[in-house]
Amino acid sequence: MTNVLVIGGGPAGMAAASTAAQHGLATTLIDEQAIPGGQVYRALPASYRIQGDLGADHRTGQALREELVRSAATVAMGHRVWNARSGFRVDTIAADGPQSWTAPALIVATGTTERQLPFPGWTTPGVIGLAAATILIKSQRLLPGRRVVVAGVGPLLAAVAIAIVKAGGEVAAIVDAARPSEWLAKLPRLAARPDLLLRGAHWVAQLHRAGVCHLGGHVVTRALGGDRLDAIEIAALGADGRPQQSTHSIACDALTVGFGLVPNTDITRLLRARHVYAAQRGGWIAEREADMRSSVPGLYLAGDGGGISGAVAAELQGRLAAFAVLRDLDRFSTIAHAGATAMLRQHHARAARFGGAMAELMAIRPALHRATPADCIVCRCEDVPRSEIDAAIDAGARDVNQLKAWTRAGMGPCQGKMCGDAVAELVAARGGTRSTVGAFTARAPLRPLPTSALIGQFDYGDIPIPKPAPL
Amino acid sequence: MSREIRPTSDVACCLIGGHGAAALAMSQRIFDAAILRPEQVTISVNGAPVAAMPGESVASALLAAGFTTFRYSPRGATPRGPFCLMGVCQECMVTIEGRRAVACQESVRAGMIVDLDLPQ
Amino acid sequence: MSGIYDAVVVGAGVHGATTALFLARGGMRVAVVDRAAICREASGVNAGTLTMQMTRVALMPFALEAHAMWASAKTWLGHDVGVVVCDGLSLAFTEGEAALLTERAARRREAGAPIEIVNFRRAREIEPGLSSDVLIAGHCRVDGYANAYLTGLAYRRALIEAGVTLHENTEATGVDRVGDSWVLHCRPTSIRARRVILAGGVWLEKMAGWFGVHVPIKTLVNQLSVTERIAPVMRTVIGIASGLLSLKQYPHGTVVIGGGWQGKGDRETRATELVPESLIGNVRLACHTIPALAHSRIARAWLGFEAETADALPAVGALPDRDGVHMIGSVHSGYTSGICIAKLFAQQLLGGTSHLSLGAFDPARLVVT
Repeated sequence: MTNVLVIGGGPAGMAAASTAAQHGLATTLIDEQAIPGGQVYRALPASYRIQGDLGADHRTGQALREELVRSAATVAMGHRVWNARSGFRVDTIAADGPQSWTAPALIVATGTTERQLPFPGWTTPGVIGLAAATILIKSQRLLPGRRVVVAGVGPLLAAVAIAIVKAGGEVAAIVDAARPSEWLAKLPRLAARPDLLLRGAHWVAQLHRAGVCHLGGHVVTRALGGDRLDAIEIAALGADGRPQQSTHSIACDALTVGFGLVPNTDITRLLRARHVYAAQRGGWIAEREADMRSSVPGLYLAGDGGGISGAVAAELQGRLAAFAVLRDLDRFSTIAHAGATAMLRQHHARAARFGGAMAELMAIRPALHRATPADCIVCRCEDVPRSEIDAAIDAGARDVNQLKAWTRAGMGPCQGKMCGDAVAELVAARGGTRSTVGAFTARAPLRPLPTSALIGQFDYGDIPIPKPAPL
Repeated sequence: MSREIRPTSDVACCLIGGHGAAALAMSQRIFDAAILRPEQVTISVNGAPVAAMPGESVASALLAAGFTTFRYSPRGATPRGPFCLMGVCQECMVTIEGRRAVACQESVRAGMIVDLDLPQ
Repeated sequence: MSGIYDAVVVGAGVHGATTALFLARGGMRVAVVDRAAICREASGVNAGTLTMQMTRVALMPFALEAHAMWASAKTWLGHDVGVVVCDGLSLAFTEGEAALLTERAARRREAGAPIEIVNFRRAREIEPGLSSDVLIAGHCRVDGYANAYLTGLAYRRALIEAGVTLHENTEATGVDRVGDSWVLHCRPTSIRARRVILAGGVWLEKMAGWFGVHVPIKTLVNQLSVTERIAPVMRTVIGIASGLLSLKQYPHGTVVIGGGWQGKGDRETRATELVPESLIGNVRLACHTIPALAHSRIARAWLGFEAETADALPAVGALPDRDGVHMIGSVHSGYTSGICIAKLFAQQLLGGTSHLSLGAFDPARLVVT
């Protein structure tokens, strides 16, 4: 009899499961990767042996993994969640088939995906996300290419560029949509975490010393190459935030690009929690109170999935969510709960200030999306260009779901995760707001389901066929 | 702590012709003293042997072996390769032993049979 | 409010939109209201099947005529909904199913559907990807499917071109009688009309309630799923004797799997929830029929509400003792037959006569006091 399910094995999920189990709750953590860590603390393959120090981030991730292992939590790795139902029941699929999990409390800690800004040629092989580059370098120990352009917006730019340089690769340029003044404006809040601020400054100095060219207020306007990337074109942003005429091209064999992080809300929307559109926190987020409770009793959110606040805040939120579950399941009194969470809240407030400033630096930039050229592919899965999206809006589509029905944008295997923000911005550009145009309806399966794994072995007689319809 | 980048020339000799692949792979493995990899194994890609690291993702193995295009998009028939590397974008779809699989979410095993849907 | 309309249609699904279209073309001044966007309920999310082999005998003449209408949508609707006309097969895997199929095919044939029973070998010729477990099949050349999600796009254009005033995202909440017309109270704007035509699908019961008439409507919560694009594995529309499977592959390669498997849903809140057992059962049936499907992936699943009356026949006609108030809906396979029924209904309202009688669908039979 499980007391609490935790979905997501990143810092929030690991901390939540450990804390819940440490205080006597029968806890199960579910994650689709082989080893816990999520994005920020993604582990190396199990077959790789670590023989030295891999840095502060890796140590933090290891500590969280070790705490989880020591706790009494059941850790179900390799299970992909494809459905969540009220009550709560979570349906997963793993190598050995489908499984269901039940508990009265559910902590969702599913993090974020990366926001992409469509641009001509962005589907060219050799163009990958910033988060993708982080995965390749940190956990797969692979460089994306020999001469890499790092582009987009937000703190991941410097992190990826540094990782490439440290691994001995060449960063041809950093193409940053933000201007230095935008970073400076955030300094007061970034100072809430002087250690992280110092690390960032150190990175900037290292990149400068390595001769990496940093172009602020610029975007990539085209990626060139047929079946592999050859070069990219860049342009400066005007005062209106839109790209001007392209002025330079840069030869490269890899482009890593990303425009911020978008909280994953598919599970919380499937469970009909209330959501609000908060551009400065990543976009659509489930409403969440100070103890991580959502608008649905028994459903809690921890980590960036509930609004971007960074890895440190995520871990604290995980613990806060666990204590809320303990309180709501009557294992802790109000006083005990207040005592257990007092320090956590203090630390969290500080961490969230820094994380919040970072979130704002990678908030969506509508002007960039509105400048998407007409012939640019927006929905990668279905090859839907902006011109077809605009035609559907001309024909009367005013929300993203009608738009999806009339263009197939969002109907492909990624289920709109790559193009969702871009499509919504294009619809909102023609009328309404992000709140009114909505989001692609959350539907099970949350990821494509391999049919053979779903159906398993069966006989025709196993299929429950009821009596025939009236003639 | 010494770090070096070695071109994976031993893998390069296993590249399949016809894809315009460079003599040296674009995506290069990072070798450093702090991480000890296991011995390489051999997998099959479109019938030809390719060296790979057990435990790394199939997407990584293919990238390191010089494959950039994994498939073509169904509507526009444009070349596609891995993009998000985290199992979301579905661009790195391949066939592993007859089943459709997301290459960045599959771990290399010795003898694995991988097929990419590419024109001959 | 901008004057008194000749008719206001409440609900912009195929029944309401088709009725409105023909009324407007017949000279009436027509408004359509829908609390959401056009064709986003059953009409936009059904499997698009245009088969005679799951059509009720009583509806066969309407289904046959509707099939011809769908096939020529470009001419009367003006816009394409991706209709593909192809052969249909209804399969039997057991002796019991074979007997059921043979009997039903005969009854449907009597009603006008060109269905013949074929043996397994012939069925395999028609559909090479078929499982070898098939005993016999009903074969019908008048079959096919449409792209249901394009329905709204086509109708919206047609309605506007016909001069219909379309109010989307406008929720009707009740009515008042004023003189010899009705005021339909809506958020944000009210509409006044001589006739009110209720076309609200599963919400017909609630709408009839505005007029103090109780017509019980049962809510079916149909669950559908679709694969990602795959290489061609089938070329007909497939069902089975019991009716619990509908299967078709679109030109772009996706396979839609349906058949009326039930999910969970609440028509008051419009909340729906997938039932995994229904998905697994439905997909197992699909894979049992076309084995190649086992190599695919299920990309999406969704649910929609379908209305059903007490005798599972349509509710079409005037509400008793309510001057100028009509309903149309709950047709059962409404997407297949509904456009013909709606066209004939509109012709009737315009004062003409219909070559097919709608008398059996009189809502008065369903009224509960």
